[in-house]
Parts: sequence; structure tokens; C-alpha cells
Amino acid sequence: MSIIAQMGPLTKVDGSSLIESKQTKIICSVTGPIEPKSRQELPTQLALEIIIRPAAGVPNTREKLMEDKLRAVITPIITRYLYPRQLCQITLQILNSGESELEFAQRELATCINATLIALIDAGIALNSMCACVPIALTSKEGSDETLLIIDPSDEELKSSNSVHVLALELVDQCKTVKNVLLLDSNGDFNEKDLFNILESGEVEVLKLGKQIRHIVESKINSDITSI
Amino acid sequence: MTDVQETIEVHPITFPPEVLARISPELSLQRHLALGFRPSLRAFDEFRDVQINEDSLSHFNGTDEMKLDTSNNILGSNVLKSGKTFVITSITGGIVEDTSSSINEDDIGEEELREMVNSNDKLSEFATVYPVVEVERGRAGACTDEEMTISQKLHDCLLHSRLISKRALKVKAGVRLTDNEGKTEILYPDEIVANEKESEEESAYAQIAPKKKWSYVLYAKIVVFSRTGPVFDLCWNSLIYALQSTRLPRAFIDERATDLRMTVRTKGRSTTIRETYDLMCDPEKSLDLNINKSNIAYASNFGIIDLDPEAALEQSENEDDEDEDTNMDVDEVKSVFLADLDTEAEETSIRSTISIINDKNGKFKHISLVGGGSKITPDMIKKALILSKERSTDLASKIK
Amino acid sequence: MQPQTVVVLPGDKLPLSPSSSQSALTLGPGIYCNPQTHEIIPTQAGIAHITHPKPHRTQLYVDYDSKRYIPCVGDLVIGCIVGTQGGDSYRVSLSNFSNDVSLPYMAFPNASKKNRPTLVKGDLVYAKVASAEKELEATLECLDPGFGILEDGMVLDCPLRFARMLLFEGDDKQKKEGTSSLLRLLARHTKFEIAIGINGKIWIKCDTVSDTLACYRIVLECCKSPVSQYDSIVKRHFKEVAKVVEE
Repeated sequence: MSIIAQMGPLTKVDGSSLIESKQTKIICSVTGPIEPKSRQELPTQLALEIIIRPAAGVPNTREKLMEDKLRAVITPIITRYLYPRQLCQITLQILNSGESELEFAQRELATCINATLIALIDAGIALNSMCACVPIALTSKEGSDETLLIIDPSDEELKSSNSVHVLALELVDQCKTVKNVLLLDSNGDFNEKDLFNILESGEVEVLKLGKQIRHIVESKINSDITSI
Repeated sequence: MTDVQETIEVHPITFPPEVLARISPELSLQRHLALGFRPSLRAFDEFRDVQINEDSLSHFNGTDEMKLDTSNNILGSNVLKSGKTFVITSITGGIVEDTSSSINEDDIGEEELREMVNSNDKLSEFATVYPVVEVERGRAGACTDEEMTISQKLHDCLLHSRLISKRALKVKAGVRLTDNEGKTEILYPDEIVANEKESEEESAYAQIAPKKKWSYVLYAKIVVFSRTGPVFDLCWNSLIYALQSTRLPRAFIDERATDLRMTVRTKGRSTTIRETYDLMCDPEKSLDLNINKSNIAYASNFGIIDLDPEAALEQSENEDDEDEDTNMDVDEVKSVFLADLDTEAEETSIRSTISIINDKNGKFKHISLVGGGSKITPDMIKKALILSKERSTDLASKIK
Repeated sequence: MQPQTVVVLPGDKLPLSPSSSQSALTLGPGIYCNPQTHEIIPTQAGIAHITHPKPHRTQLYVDYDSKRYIPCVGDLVIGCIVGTQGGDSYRVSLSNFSNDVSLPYMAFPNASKKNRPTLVKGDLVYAKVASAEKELEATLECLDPGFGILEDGMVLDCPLRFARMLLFEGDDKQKKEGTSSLLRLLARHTKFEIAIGINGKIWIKCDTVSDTLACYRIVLECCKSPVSQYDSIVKRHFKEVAKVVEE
């Protein structure tokens, strides 16, 4: 999976990112730590407010579910206890979903997770670790029972697949080691063998993507140094 | 001397277990786990028993009381009880005109073209239901995030499980005929085929058969009472039970409605008046919802939590020396694997969860691993798979 | 041992030599020690500086850029008075939407119960952070000379790294002469007063409004430009402003 990412395209917020992966394009903004509304406040840790806005129309339950999954991935990697009684607002605007929105959300979710990570780094919110996320599809080869694993499937590949998956892993140690599975969200027809195949082959791809994200962040750091 | 007298004595504060569980759920959970129990007193890999009450509410095969009630429009239902939680699912339906397939059947070319375009879209052959989950908490107001995400998740999982094909939801509309004596009769296309001798009627039907096509749409209202923990898998199981008992009402149009077009034509006002089909549902006759039985799967969930050695201090007091040794040796964290999460303590403190929808043969429909807390190892996943298969077998056996 | 600098990202392993694990570690910004595992990890993406001021002593911090300021004891900041609280302190905003901090009336020179400072809503103050605990509201003080109200002039927002550079470069200046800094360049063209807040705010004031405006624009543009261009930016803006004044 390859992405084109821009770190900090927005000037009025604390951190931002713009990510393009195939047809999918998402912009993310992060503001925080800021003063929360009293109902959001958590006494010992940072509260997160996550908003995903769809490419067309108003946010729906579909976006709510994506927000829920994104929160499950992002919460453990933020050093939340550094910011008690504070709030971090994460807003994502999907510019192009790059998939059939009525049936799939895998591409968008994976890109949202990657975009949020880069925006959080840009905002200087303390993180415990890095993460990276890839969408995966499993297709049966024509005329045989063999399953084919497609990393970063396109809309057509999603449609012709038997099952679709999103895999996000927590990366530490120069993005070389996987610390934990942050999210594996699978839907469709698959079996145990497929599941472990996804976890194994997916890991290789996530590590590759992690390296790429690392490179994006490092080049931003280096360009910042030379500019001052 | 005075100094000594003034020293403050620190009294340890003790709470009864139920108070501790409220004010510090995490600590209370850890204390329980250290003793080898869960707060619910279940074993680590023990599920709650599930009791179901099949289809007692629906219009077609519910209790007599329900059948007589003409205003009852429930097509399938299920009441599921698990622990203290009740989940009531009622399936209702609607009928929509199939605009995409309303094309003339004679024009095969267009149909073929459409099929070619869609041939790669495997999911487009399948339908889903539109669920609304309500978790009753004794207050009114806008729906909570949990209700929204569960509803959407049920919707997505059902679509991707390929349980209901779109073909199963096609309306085979009948026609109501009124003969000369004013006696009405409803003719259904498939019934005519069944008794072939009435070829007369068949031709009569062919003449007046509606040209338009309709599909059923299914809605599911899922109400959860006395929620004690995560409810997604309860909702899913209840929905699957309800769908298995769902019967679709037969629908027909009135002969007069089909006549309408003819009348209009002879009077020469064909442009202004459009044919209007009044599609009505038969209150007595119904068909089984034809679901893909091989794709029926049931949900279960698991959690993983690290044992906090500090939280288990109480117990170690008796065996001081021993414990010190083990503490020194066991540097790596021990984690506990729990099945069927329940209670507030488990829900809030366990941040690594595995949620599985599969059948007894190990065919998966959905898996969600969330590793917000302790590490999810392949061994744990394997353990979860074995347990979930057993659970599915058990749940599948509950329905006749 | 030589000081080390290395680019790190959150969760990376720090290149600490085994011997330094026995030496006393001082953790600076961007480094976090997990209270449960006692693992030391960087939490920010930036340049990690590992220095050894004394043998058996290691200092660690990550130099990173951000836009939102989090109060730290001893920082020099520019705040805006946004109200009063409890009749004994001002509420001060250090950055938009962040929690306000407090500036007690007694934290001014010669303050007493009767002699109260006379700041009003909207005033700018230059202050030092007196206490900053993450669980508590931070407090400021204006006790030393040079602190207190900033009258007239203009204030601008800049990235925190730029503010730090500007402030600490000024410190270095006394030690080593000759490096051309932005402030030095400005001083060639006009007389000015400047207050640099670590919270990404720079206040600047000249004798004439046109010079203030020129300085404001220069600093704003220099935030995003490499040092080598400072000279031309300064010259260009003064020229532009002068042209407008003539007209």
C-alpha cells in the first residue's frame, strides 16, 4: 500500500494532514489539548472528540461507526494521562471516498487512521507508539478454491471480493516491531486459515506502510530544521 | 514526646465489595480475577445462558392473541434473555417498487446489460435489514452513540454475511379477481403453477399480471432492557433468531387496478392519468423468508486483561514468603482470557476485546479484534475461535 | 561521552548506551517514562538530544515543533487578560481554546492588599510561569522587572519552535558575537521593543506605527523562511512600508 501524505496543510489548527491513497482522499485536523466542555471532561486523562464528515451529505450512522472504530485505534496510542481534564478534537473530512459507500467503508477507515496518526504527530500530542493501517480484501481465484489476498484493494476489487478487512497494528522501536493488534475488522466469508493469513501477510504490509509514514514524518522534521 | 503524640495514624479505609465495585471498578475486577473469579461469579471461559422465546409476537405464527390483532404488523420476532438483559426484536416490513428492475421483461437485452455491469459486485445481490437499536435507560432524548454504532454494525454485518439475497425479497404479486356474483378470489402466480389443471386461470393471470416489480424491505426494531454490559452480540443473535422465523405476507393488487389502464385508454385520456397499483398485503397468507441457511452465524465476544499483581495484595498476605519469590520470578504480565463480557467493571476496564460471528463449522462472517489494552496473541485468538464455535453450536440448537 | 542528536518518532527505542542506564537520567520535554513498565520512550517526533553534562548524568529531550503551548515552570509567556477570579487573581489566556491560567494580584511587584494591579480585560502581560502541574491550573507571576503589562505595539502568533529560537538566540548572543540574528537585522533599521513569549506569541513595538507594522510583517514571514533569507525579507518590508508612508 502506498500513500501520498502532506503533513500540516492547515495553518489555523494545531495539527493536520492530507492523505491520498488510490482514489481515497482525506484531510484531518487536530486541535488540542484544549479546554473541554464539562460533559466531555475526564478527571485523569485526555478526552477525545472525533468527527468524521462524509464526502457527500451529512454525517450518518455509517460515520458514527467509523468514528467508533477510529477511537478504538487512536485511544491506546495517545499518552492520555499526560493531559488530564483536557480535550483533543480530531476532525476528518473525507474528500473522496474511493469506494461504494453503501457497501464498504474499509478504504476510508484505513485512510482515516493513517491521516489521524500523522495529524496527531504534527499537533505534538504525546504518543506512546506509532500505528499504520491497511485495507485488505480476499478474493477467490477464478475456478479454484484458492484465496487471493489483495492489499489496498480498489473499489472494483472490494466488490468482487469474498471478504473485506481492515488491519491496524501498533508499531514501536523505529517501526520495526509490532506491539499489538489495534484493530482487525473483518466482514464477509472467510475461515480460520484466511484469518491467520491476513494477520501474517498484513503485518508485512503494515510494517512497510509504517516505514513510509516514518519517512514522511522524518522528511518533515528535516525540512523544518533546514528552514530555521 | 509531644511529637510522637501528634503523629497521625493512618486508618486503612475498607469498603463493602459492592461499594468498591462502584467507586473503583478496575480494582474490584482485578481483586476478583486474582482469586480466580469474575465479579459475576462465572468462570473465565463461561458464557451466560441464553433463553429465547421464539416468534410469539408476530402476525402470522405468533400466539392466538397476536394473530387476531389485525393492527399487528410484525413479521418475525424474538425475545432473548441473557443474564439480566432482555432483547426484544421485532421485524416489520415495507414494500418498495423496484425501479431498477421495472424494465419490461421482454427486453432481455437491458436486463442482461444490467447483470453484466453488476456481475462483479457480489454484494449487490444481497439485501440487509434496517435495524434500529434502542437501549432503554429510563430516559428519553436523542439516541446514544452506542445505539447508532450497534445499529450500523448490525446492518453492515448482515449485508456482508450474505444471509438474505435480494431475490428472496422479491414480491410475487397476486391479483384479486371479482367474479360476476361479487365473490372475490386472489390469484397468485406460483399457486397457479402448482395446480396446473387450472390453465384457464393461468392465462387469465397472464393477461392481468402487473408489469411492475416490487421488493420487500425489512426493518428490525431491537429493544434492549436492563443492559448490564456490551450488547452487540445479544442484538445480533436475537436478530438472527427473529429473521429465521420471519414470514413475508403475500401481496396482491386489485383486478380493478389493473383494469384502470384499459379504461383510461378507451376514453382517450391516457396522458393525464397514470396507472396506479394499489398493492395490498394478504392478512392470512404468508411465505417463509427464504434466507441462506448456510450463512446463519451467531455472535460471541471475549476480553483479555492483564493481571495487575499490585491489585492482588490482599490475598498474598497469608503466604508472604512464597509470594515474594513468585513476584520476583514472574516478571512478565499474566493475562486472563474472559468469555462473554458482562458487568460495568468488565466493560470499562477490559480494553482488548475479540468479537466473533461464526457458525459451528468455523465459517466466519465477522471478526473484530480491538487491542487497546493487553496484547492479543495468536493463541488467544485460537482459543476464542474454539469457544466461539462451541457457542455457535449451542445457540443454533436453541431454535427448532 | 559525546552529546548525541538523532531523529526519533513516538515509541522509538532511544539510543541510550548501556552505561547510561546506571547514570542519573534527567527527562526533558517529549520524553515519557511509563509509570508501570518504567520504559523510557519519546512521545514526540523530532530531534532527540542526549547530553552528558557530568559523568554519570544523562539529559534527554526531544526538540519538536508544535503550535499549542503547554505551560512549564520558568517559561516566559505573553498572555491576554480575559477576566478575574475570586477577587484575588486574573484569568489569563496563553493560547486560544486552551485552559486559562491564573495570575494572582499578589504576583506583582510591591503588591499588597491595598495596592492592587490595575489590569483590565484585553490587556497583554509578559509573565513567567510560576507553577505548572498537569492536574492543576497553572499560575503566572510578574514579580521581576521587565514583566507586567505590554502597552501598544502588536502581537503575533508563531510556531513554538520559532519563538524558542528567537528567545534563546538572544541568550547566546552575549556569548558568541557575529551570528546574524533576526533581531540584530531589525535593529539596523529601527528602534524597537520586543517581548517573546515561549507560548508562540511575539509582541513588538516601535516608535512609529509604520515601523511596527514592518516589524510585524517581517517576523510573520520569517517564521516560515530559512535564516538565509532573513536579510532580504527585512529589507523588502522596510522598503515597502517606507513607500506607503511617502505616498
